[in-house]
Amino acid sequence: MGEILSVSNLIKRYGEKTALNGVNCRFEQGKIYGLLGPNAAGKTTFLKVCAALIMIYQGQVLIDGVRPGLATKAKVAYLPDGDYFFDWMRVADAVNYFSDFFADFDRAKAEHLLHELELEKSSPVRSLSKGMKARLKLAVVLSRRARLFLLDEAFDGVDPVTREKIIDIMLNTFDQESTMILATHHIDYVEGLLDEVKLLHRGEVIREIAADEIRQNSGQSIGEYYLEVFRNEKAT
Amino acid sequence: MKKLLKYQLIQYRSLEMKVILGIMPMLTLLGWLSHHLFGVSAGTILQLSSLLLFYGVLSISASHYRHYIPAFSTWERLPLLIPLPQLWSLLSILLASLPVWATYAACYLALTIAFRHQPGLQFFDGWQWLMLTGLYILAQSTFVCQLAAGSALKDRLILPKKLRFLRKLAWWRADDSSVMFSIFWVMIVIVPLHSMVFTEYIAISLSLLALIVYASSAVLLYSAACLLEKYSNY
Repeated sequence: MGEILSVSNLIKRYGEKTALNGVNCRFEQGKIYGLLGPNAAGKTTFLKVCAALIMIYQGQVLIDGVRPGLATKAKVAYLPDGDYFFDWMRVADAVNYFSDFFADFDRAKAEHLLHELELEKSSPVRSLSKGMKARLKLAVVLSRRARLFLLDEAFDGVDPVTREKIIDIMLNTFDQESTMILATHHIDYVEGLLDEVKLLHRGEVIREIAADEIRQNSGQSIGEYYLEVFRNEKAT
Repeated sequence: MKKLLKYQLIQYRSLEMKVILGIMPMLTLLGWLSHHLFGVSAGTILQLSSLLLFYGVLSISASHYRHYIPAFSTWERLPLLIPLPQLWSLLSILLASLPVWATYAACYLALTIAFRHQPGLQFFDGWQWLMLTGLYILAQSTFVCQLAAGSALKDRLILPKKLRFLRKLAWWRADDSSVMFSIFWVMIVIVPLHSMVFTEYIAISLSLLALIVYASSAVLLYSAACLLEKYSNY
């Protein structure tokens, strides 16, 4: 499997506060990664650097051998934690926007996802509930055939039944040419999706391990492993 | 570019835009009625209407620029994620202001026709229109440039504890009201003063001044786009 994202000694400071403190890691094609960590671990900052939203940092980040910027935006599908769409948009506008600006957007898949997630095309975005907005974000982002998916707390606000449905769709439609990084602290939401996990703590990657290795070697779930690691971190 | 422009123009369907666009002809009509019903002088109406109509242009323009605010705060918005140069995005915002400029011009034209027989009235000529639009572009470019430069410097300037209060006053702090305030300030106060200094005291010709304004606008617009693309930081 080829490497899609490589990060060497990534440091990002906000004034005197250090958000990322020398992150080193690699991400391979065809895998779904969990970027797990407590609040303020640096997950969102890491994804923003990869999405070319934060351009000032130290260290090296390469997506397909290229520094994040204008060129990589066409290959990266980023789903932010916060607000995303314009208030004036209807659901159909959001789909059209993605279709117009991203060459890898699959309209047929978008139509399918809108139907599956019960999103009305004529609904104004501002009238959608938090959960429905989260569904719309997932629908448009997952409809791209991007090389790298960066999803930040993607399932926040989504009800358990819909979450199951989306996870099924993600598993069934995940392209082996792509890579997905799911940043979350809700491990139970994404447990079944992950091939590999990277635990981020105080701006550093403290563990990198395959999901199967956790299950086979210690008989633990990823959630249990996470709790054990972070309890020990807290104790030290 | 066409697609960017399409999405900028779609914003005109928002209620806020419709209200402001609707207010502009209403103001013109009100001005005309005030002259005929209450005898308010045509000169006063023309000056007042020009100013108020200009507020309309600025309000709508500020709405277009609002999507850049997230670039300097903590939210994310789609225009920052699409794989297109920020210069195109800034140009599309300028082009999208054409309908509102057309409304302004139409309302102004209606007043000039209505008051065409009034003696001693000074109407805008072609050069003045050119200057007005040039200064408008200059003001907008300066504003975006200022935000982008401020954002790029933000994390690099570590202030001593005693001076941290300055952060609260920082000119790069951006929200909806600061956008409106900055644009109003630049357009209503600085721009007329600036052009007065040039034309009255330095006695520069209007055509040379227009050239300077358009050249400065182009440089600032390009700088703003580069700063947004290469150094924006949020």
